[in-house]
Amino acid sequence: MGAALGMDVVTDLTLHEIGLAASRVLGRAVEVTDDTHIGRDLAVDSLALMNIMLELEGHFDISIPLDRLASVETGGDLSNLVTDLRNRA
Amino acid sequence: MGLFDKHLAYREAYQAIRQAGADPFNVRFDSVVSPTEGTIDGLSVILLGTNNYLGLTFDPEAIASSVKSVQERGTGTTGSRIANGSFEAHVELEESLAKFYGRKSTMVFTTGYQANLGVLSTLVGRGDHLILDADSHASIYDGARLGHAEVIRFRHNDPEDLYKRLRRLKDVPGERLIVVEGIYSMMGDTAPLKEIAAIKREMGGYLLVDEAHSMGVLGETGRGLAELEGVEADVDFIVGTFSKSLGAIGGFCVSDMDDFDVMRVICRPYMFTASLPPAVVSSTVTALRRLEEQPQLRHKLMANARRLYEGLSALGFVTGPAASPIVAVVMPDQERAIAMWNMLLANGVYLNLALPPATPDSRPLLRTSVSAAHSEAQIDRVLEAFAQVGAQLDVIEAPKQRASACG
Repeated sequence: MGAALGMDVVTDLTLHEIGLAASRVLGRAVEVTDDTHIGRDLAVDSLALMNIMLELEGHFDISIPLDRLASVETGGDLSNLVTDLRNRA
Repeated sequence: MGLFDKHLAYREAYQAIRQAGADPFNVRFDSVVSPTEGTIDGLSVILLGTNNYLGLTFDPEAIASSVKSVQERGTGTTGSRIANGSFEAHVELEESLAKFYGRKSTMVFTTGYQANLGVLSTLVGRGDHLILDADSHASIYDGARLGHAEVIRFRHNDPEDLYKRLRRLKDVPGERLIVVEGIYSMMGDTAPLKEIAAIKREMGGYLLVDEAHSMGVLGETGRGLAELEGVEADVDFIVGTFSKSLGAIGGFCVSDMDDFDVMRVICRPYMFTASLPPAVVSSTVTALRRLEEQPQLRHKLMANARRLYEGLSALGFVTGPAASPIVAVVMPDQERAIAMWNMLLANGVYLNLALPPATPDSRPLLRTSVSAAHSEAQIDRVLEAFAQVGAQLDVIEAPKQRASACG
């Protein structure tokens, strides 16, 4: 129970950081939730997505391999990927 | 759903660009009469977007050797070198390049794109790490996708970010290959190669420099940025092209590593493409000799680059960080970028329109490339056209306002 709650908090914080990174890159305030479709809902092109990744990599001190990005569609996917890479580090 | 439905957004964007005037991505020359002059729709234009840095496309000796070669050896090799064998000119070209760079081995590819595709997909494999500058050319990204190494990017020209990436990989097994470019093709900026080489020495790994735009342009003898920065010993692989300063088409990789030649039987973009036709190989051998014989071409090129860069900066245009044979003008928005490209063409100046996502920081660019073959008068005519059109479109202040602002 406690572990599950802790995981939720981590996910929320990660999503919050993804939102901040996207806002910085896009130059407008955006909110990212588990279900946000990054390409469609945020109108992010491939270049902006790459720049959001650079922001997240710097913030979390991780490197996100390009092939891992192929499966990322939603905020939840990205949050899980970041969490996974942080645990690996 | 049709096959092309997913690309409809591109089609619409492209149509909108074409409606604004000429098609910047499908320019048709009636004729090209010299490295710097051509005609489009009957109008004479100065060519300022051809990457023809040394102007060797019309070098009489290169043309003569090409003509002799096509007459003696035919129009094509009709197959790859592993299947159809090599002509003596292929071997001569590889030996000339190895000698030019002072390295043991050279492999020649049919295009520069294929050189990156082949080398990057073969040097590193599963379990290895490919570490790219974020602003790398499409051929580097595509080479990374073709192979099986884990690909990560570091911030453009940011050695500290590169260092962090390598630090995170500490204790992770696998080889590391760092990839940077001598001159970046959009903004004309150079890599901080001294710092990058120092990081490579400290953290381990291999370093590959793509000198496509810097070969024949930078360095005491034209070997590129690694020569200019005095770090050739730290660079394990140099990739380059024949389609810029050497005025033809093709690509290469040179190295001092043992066993480099094993790539000839495992590197698919080398093995499964017809080799370069004799005429192209011969003109390239001659162009390389001409490059070595005429250091004055490099000096003229840089003088022209400075004249254009300083002229555009003085007019108030936003340009790259330093004078280089690639001078990019950052445009405030896509509409004016397209309009300005069209108006410059109508004023007799042909250059490249570069739109996001092909450009850094999502900024539209008017990209120029200078040649040693440009005369000062041509550069001055280009500057006049920029001044006139830039003021008309409010990209820069009108001349009178500029004068009063200064005075």
